[in-house]
Amino acid sequence: MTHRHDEFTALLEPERDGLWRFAQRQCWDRSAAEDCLQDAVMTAYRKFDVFTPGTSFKAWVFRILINVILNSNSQTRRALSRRAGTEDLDLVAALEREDAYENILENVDDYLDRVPDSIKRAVKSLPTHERMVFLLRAVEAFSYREIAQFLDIPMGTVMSHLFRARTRLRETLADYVRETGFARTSA
Amino acid sequence: MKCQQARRLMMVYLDSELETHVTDAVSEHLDGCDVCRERFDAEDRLERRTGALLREATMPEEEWESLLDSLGRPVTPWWRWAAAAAVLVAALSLLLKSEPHQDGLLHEMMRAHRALAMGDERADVSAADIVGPEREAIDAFLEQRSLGVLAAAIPSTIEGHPIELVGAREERLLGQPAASVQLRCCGTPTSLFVMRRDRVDALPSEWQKALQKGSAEEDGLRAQSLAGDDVLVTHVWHTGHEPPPLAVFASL
Repeated sequence: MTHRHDEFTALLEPERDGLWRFAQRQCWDRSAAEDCLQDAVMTAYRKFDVFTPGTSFKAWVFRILINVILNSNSQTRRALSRRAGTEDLDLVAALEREDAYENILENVDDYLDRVPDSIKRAVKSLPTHERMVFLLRAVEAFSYREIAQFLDIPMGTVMSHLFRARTRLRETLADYVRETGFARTSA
Repeated sequence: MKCQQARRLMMVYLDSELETHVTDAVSEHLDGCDVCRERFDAEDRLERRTGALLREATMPEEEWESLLDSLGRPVTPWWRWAAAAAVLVAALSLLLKSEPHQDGLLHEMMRAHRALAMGDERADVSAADIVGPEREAIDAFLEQRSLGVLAAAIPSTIEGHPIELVGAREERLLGQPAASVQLRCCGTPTSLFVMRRDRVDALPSEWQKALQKGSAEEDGLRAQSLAGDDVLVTHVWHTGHEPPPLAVFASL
């Protein structure tokens, strides 16, 4: 193998799980996710000469993957670009009627130890564009500015999508608590 | 800083995205306010644990190996491509001759409707596969698959026809993934199928014959399609009851 190939795979290796997870959670099905990931990695490999050493390889390759995913899903691209509302980003106020959520906050570790799958299901139920922004921030730890650049949208819109995703996620968890009676069994 | 101001900044503060002087002001408030500090700590814990849980999934080794293989694959000589293409053409012509699905996608949808809505005993339909009938669950199911063209677009009455949502389900039509929404229009079973355009385009052109006409009829059922940029929406109904036009159900 060539030096270029070795250098590329050495940089790709630490990002493999993150890229794979992201593709799996953003694509229609497993085979679409595999296709998107392979397409993105091949594109990155072809363009590796224009990657600037010393900058973030993770950000560079994620941007390529996001483009591949959005190119096959213009609905999500449109939803991402929709102008952000001017809503107050007050999560406490948005959830003030969710008593069940208060119960989760009082027992976060206990709740997540006992029902870890509820979080995964709640994330899965988010609208695709909100899930994308949420995963880029909460799982892959990209900054608002990086996410805005990846998605070619203003930072205010990133914050708005993220706020809605977090609110929706917490409402879904509260629904789950109400349905399963977690509040009654945890004490 | 007051509690309300601090909590408005809470998630941006926890994301470390505030300017330094604002971060300092929030930190100062938290030092003196137990209620806010407890709320911030709990939200921070929930967010971190969520991130950690979602990071648990890892790429299977064989998929990684296959990805590396595709990078290192040597250039195939042209004559090998030519030989492979010849084999593929031969295999495809055999497949098309023996394949029973030449009557098209619309008829496949009518078959699926019959199985779902009319309890066709040959159908392999399990109640566990069906999402709904709650509107929110169906909306989320479609949104999740980027098929939200029907979401919230199905009110309980359309042009005087009472509409009752029954459920939504993943489908495989001619081998391609799709979704269906079952409903009752004036009590009569009706299905709406949504399929991504790239999946429709992936079908052999022979199988799309009926689709090009946009409508088809078979054994008392009628199917009609509307094609948008990204999705194809098809309505299947019983000819004995004429429902409102498809355009009312789908915003394309």
